[in-house]
Amino acid sequence: MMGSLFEALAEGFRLLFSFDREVYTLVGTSFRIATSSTIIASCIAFPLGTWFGLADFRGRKVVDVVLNTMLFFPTVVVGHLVYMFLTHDGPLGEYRLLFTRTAIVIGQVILATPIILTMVSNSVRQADPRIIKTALYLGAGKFRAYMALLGEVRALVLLSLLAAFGRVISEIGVSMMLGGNISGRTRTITTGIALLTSQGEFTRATSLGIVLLIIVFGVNLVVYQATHRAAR
Amino acid sequence: MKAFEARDIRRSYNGRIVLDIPELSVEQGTCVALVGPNGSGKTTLLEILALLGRPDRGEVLINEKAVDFGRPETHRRKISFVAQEPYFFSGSLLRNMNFALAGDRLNGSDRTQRVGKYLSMLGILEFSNRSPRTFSSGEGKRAAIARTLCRESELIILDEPFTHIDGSSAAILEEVIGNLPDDRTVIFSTHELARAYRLADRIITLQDGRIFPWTLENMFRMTAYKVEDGFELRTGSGASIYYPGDLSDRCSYVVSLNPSEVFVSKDRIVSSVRNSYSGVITKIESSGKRTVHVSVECRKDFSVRAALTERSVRELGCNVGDTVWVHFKSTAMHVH
Repeated sequence: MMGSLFEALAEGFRLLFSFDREVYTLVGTSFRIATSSTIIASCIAFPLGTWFGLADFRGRKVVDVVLNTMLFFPTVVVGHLVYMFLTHDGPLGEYRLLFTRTAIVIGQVILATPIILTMVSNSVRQADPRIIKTALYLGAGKFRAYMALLGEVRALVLLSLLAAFGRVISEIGVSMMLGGNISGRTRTITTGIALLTSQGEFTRATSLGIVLLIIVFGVNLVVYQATHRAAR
Repeated sequence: MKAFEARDIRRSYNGRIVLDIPELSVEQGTCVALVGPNGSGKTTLLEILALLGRPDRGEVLINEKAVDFGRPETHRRKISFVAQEPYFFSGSLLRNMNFALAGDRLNGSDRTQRVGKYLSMLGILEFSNRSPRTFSSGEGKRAAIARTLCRESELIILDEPFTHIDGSSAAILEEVIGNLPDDRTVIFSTHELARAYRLADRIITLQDGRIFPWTLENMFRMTAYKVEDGFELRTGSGASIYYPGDLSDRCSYVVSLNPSEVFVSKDRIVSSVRNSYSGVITKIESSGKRTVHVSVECRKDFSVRAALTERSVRELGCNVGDTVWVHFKSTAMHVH
């Protein structure tokens, strides 16, 4: 067993550095989809999270619980719900999005948004209350003041992006149900691993898993450096 | 023209009224000191005037224009404020200065020049590339004031600029505030009356959220005794002041004298002024506003401060240790 694991590890590195076209297609697809989902989710979650972190309204605790629950949404449930909307007789069926990268991005945005939103709102809530006031009395408008606030908690904001990216690049439920695992188009690393496993190609499946881990490790390393620089 | 006006301002916290100002106005180009003990409502009032806080009721006018607290941005941009405990954005002091200047549309060289001017003025030019978070308390205050002044706003509000700072920083700040251009309206809070007199054209005293009609000096606890045509107020050591108003016999009162309404002479003078006392000059303090404060000890518990012009002091030839006479009319007294 250990022997096959080491074999897979070696194969993983070999695949990554031998510039295997199929592997790089999977990596590229996964990376593009996960990056798009994280960017779109952050566009939704940054303003909402900032507002939610600063606002004081009734029912806030309920929203907190709902958001925390959304962090644990099973990916297949999200995949299933979005599938119902995108299927040909669903409300958005006419747009023919099912089994496209866009469909995966929609599902992944639903997964990533609560992560970024919760982390941003918590970091804004815990930030020094003088930040916004200082920005305002130095002549900033509200938008610039909020940007200054996000700038001051940028280490945590970067971490929220990392957490969201990690969640979407490693999920399989949404990619499989909404992407359909179409070779060269919607096949991602995780759906590729699932396919190889079902075909009995365990070593190749494990090595793809290792490729995924290496990528996530690399992204973590970059973000770690960035957050440390940001915290200074 | 009035730079700041507050009308019928009230603010409460947890059901307790912390600020209740029926009327307050500050003329353009004046330097006003807001004096009062901790918890007297100075910060709350300054934040409302800086449009950073909202009163529960009442109206604020900036340059004689009423402020809509729903959209205070336009008025707020005209005001520069320094908080008692200023916050610095991460990064260098230069980055903080640039943040303050971001809305000014200055070109690169003008901006560098402006930043350099205020950093030099506050004596922190060599710290420009350091993070202000590493500064000492005094350096931090100077940095915060440089950051605010570089905006060159006409209206400047400084909340306790002299607290928690060393002597040299305080001296620099006094010089900077005292030498601001005449068109700047400055309001600063402090609990040091001497400093307020040195810097300000006018002193507003705040106590329990209300403006006191007198300053917290020349205050004496006295007992009223009925005399033929009014009352005689006496201190424990026997110093007595004549007061023609209505008081209760043998009751204790706090009496305050406005230093600007106390006169000093070298010799006893015969006049209509009923309250004249001789005493020894114990202190002569010069302020940056051509006013000199002369403290005259008439009795152990009755030392009177008089605010005189530099010229008067020069002409009188006042020196510490000289015996002089102080005189004041009963209208200069506030009895509480």
